[in-house]
Amino acid sequence: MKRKKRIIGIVAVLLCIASLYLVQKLLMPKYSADIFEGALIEDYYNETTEHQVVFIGDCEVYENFSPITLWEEYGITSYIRGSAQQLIWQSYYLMEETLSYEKPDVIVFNVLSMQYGEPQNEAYNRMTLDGMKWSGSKIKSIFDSMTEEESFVEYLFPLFRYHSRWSELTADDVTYMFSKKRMFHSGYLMRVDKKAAGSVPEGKILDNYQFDDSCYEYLDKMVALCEEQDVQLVFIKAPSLYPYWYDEWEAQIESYAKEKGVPYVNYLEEIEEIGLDFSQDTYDGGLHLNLSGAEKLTRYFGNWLKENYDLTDYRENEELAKIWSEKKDFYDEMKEDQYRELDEFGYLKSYGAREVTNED
Amino acid sequence: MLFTSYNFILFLVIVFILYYCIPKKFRWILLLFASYFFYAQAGVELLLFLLSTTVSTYIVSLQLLRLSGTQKAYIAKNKTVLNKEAKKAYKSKIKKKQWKWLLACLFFNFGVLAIFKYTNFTIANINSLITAFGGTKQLNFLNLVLPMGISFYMFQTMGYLIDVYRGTVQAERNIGKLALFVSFFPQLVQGPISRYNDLSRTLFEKQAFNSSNVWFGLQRILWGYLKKMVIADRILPAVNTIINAPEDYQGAYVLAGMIFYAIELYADFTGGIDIVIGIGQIFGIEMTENFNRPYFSKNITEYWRRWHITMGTWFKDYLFYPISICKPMRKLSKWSRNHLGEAVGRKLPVYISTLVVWFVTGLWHGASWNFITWGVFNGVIILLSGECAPLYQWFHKRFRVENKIWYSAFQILRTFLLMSSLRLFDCYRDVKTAFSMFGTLFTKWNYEVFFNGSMLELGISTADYMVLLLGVLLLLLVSLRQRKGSVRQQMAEKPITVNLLAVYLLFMAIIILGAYGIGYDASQFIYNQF
Amino acid sequence: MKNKIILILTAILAMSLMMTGCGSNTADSQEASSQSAGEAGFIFESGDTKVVMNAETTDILESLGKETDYFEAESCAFKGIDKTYTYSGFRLYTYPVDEVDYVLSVEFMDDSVSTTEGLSIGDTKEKVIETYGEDYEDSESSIIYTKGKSQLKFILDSGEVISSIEYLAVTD
Repeated sequence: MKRKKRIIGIVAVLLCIASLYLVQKLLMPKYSADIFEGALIEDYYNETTEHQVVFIGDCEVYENFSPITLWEEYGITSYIRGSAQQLIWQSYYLMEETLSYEKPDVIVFNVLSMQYGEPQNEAYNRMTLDGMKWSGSKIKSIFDSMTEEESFVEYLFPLFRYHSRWSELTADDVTYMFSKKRMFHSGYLMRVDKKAAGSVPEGKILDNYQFDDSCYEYLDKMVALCEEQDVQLVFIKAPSLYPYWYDEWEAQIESYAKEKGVPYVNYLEEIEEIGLDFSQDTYDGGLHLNLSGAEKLTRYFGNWLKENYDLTDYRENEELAKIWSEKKDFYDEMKEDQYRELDEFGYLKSYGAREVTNED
Repeated sequence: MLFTSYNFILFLVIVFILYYCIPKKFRWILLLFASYFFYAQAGVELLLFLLSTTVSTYIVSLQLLRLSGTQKAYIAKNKTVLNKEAKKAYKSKIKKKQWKWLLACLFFNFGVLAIFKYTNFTIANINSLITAFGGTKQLNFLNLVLPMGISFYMFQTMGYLIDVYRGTVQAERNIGKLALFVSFFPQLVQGPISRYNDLSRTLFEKQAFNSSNVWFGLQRILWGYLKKMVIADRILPAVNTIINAPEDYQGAYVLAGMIFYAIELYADFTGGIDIVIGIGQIFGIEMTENFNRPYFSKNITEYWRRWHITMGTWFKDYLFYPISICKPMRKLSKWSRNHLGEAVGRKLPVYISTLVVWFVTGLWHGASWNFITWGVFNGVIILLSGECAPLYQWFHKRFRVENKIWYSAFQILRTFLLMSSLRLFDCYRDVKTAFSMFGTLFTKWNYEVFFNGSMLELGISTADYMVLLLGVLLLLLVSLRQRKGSVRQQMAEKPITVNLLAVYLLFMAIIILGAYGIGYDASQFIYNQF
Repeated sequence: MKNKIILILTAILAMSLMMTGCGSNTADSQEASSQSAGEAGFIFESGDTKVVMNAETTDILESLGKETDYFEAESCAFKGIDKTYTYSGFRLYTYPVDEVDYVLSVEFMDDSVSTTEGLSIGDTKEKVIETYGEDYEDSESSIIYTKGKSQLKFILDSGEVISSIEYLAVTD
């Protein structure tokens, strides 16, 4: 009798744990309706092959580069490990984690996040961190990122953070319980719509232009890590007109890059050469490029890669060609679908865009 | 450490595991270390307060013991020599000495409490008086931090000392055990205020692992967390919205606030006590009940026998009785019987003692006129309802409604509304505001806010209201069931799968529906900084 | 019995008097609340418009009239839009909460505008401290005064001359 009770007890506990796991999966946000960026990080683990180039950074990478173009025109395989407002230490730990899965030839890092020396925002933290698989890198990244209101337990068991979603559940929460909706192209988030850039205000005068010491520390760590792993590190500044990139910041990065022997390209200075037209190539007034802008930038960047590095052209490789052909199909499908929505609704309804009203 | 923090849960689990792993005779010592560790989380320097109370009480209680011993020995030795008067005189001499020791310790400890809790209140009043007399000088407030739980452990310990003085409790010779009685971590923050004879029965016992205790205790803890996190914390934003902006929320909102606060306070306080007693139970320790379905009370006197029971009995035993039978009171009673008539004379000591006790009760709840007014009002109404007793008797003789269900329902509702109205003093920033808000119940006719969606703009959503409704219904159901006896006992008689399912649902309800985490304000037990 | 009835009636009378006596106190509390609103913080004045930090922008924008320039930036991944309105001499920045915009900050662009107390770009550090007092937080090149839920920030060129003045809202 006692034995029976014990068995029932153990079964009960196991069932309880299983149900907690399922409930957690159910209640975690799926990022399938409008804020797709939250699903970016997790998408990486769906990749089946390695990449020659890995981009790391914030929305200035995942909105401005098209890995499909890089493949089509140069046969270079790439992936963008980007996330919204990705902070520099988060980038470093993502870099560390990526290198535990593969060894790319080049890692490209967008330096905009040097301006943030402190944890910023819980929601952005979640979008970058929740998607990572558990690893030492993830744990370190969590501890460095937590704002005051956050606690590690809530990352360990996201159920404690997202339980309040019980009253906001939708059908998508069930559909995408175990795997997210496919929305990205090797980490690129596509937008075909256009919104011409008007006048973009210069930045406010700051009292301190010096980047935080902690940011430099992480930059050092990146350089060291890439050296140690024999990976070529490249710094870039994407050609986004806003947030404002100060000359004082530019000077610091240039001098750092020179000192460390890391190539650095500021694409804000090469807009003409790239052929970017900010009346056509941006979907939000100059903050991010749209598809045509991203393809232009990628073409230009690909050329620079080819000229500076010995990267194999894999277009003849059967296995890779097959995989990337499928990616290209999905890319074209989405492009078509987005153009269709633009025609039908005037804005990208299912792709997170705002309805365009005539009040501006 | 808040009960509703991850750290506390971890702490509890670790202490629980260690408790049943170490040899039985060391278990109470573990609890002592755990209690001091728990208290130190609020600030290591605060341990000084616990220590000063423990040490002073220990020293004095041993003095009292020593004097009793001396007395016994002397009388025994001189049995044949002493006559009745001599014996009496000697005893009274010893008693006087003991009284001096007791007074010194009470003075010291209550002094500490008074200084830390009431200094700024006193200063504020002095400042008001100065202004009232046209002066301009204002005293500065002191930056004093109120040691956590001081109102609870102080009263509990002084109760112990008075019991030793009275001879009803044998002084504890082991300072460690006394220290544990003073600092026992579950009850430190919000009671119950235990009596030494009751608590010590199980506190120091060599507890064997008893699965029934642990299972029942766990259920009680979960039940407490459900009340606290699913109900109390969920309704709190609405309460705060209403009482923090009395200019904007009047009339019907005040009624809503009263009812919401009644639910919130009940769920928070009784939930907290459930957690406390449940924790005691998993360690095999029995603690006194503090609530007995108080909202089913039919009048105010009954309410105070069912709400915060240990506070009521403490004041009754250690304040009310001593005052009503002390010499000055007896003199006053005699004088008034002679000058104001027999009836008045007999009642006067009771009335004065009652009002004093309620004044102090109010003061104990908080250092502000709000609480004092609340206390005194409670006292006045209790006395009034006592005075009205003949009126009620006549009424019930004339109209036979005494045990009719609808009349009982009326009595319960009446008492509920009365107590909720009194609690307005608890809510608003000052006495004036409380009175005027109560007034708006009758003068501001905006009861349409219950129907036009305004209730959804207080900080809680429709989904929240649904959960609250279900929660309150559940509370009601369980309370009704409880009249037949322990609900856990009744559950235990059902098949084990039903039990497991109930506990599982309780657990999941807390995790999913609990109003905790980012997006909900960090919640505190109302009695925490007490 | 008679005494008791008198006692009860007196008590009821006393309690009701106390309640009615408090009707007049609502006037006091209204005064008190308007007084505390005055302590709301630093307010930027442009002509007749009072720009209060953290305030809803609708009325303020209407009062300021047509802006010379407008810019909006949708923050990364969120539906909130931060807006920038440029006027003659200053810029107004807003932040959204639940689709409603609130004043985030006002930045001076040149010396054609000044604070309510008369400070403009180009004035000296001494004048700032003279006008606003010693209760400020400072760093190498800035002084920040905090009042209520707002801040007034002066950035100093080489530590001596004001190169930028900004009103900032303190948000939670």
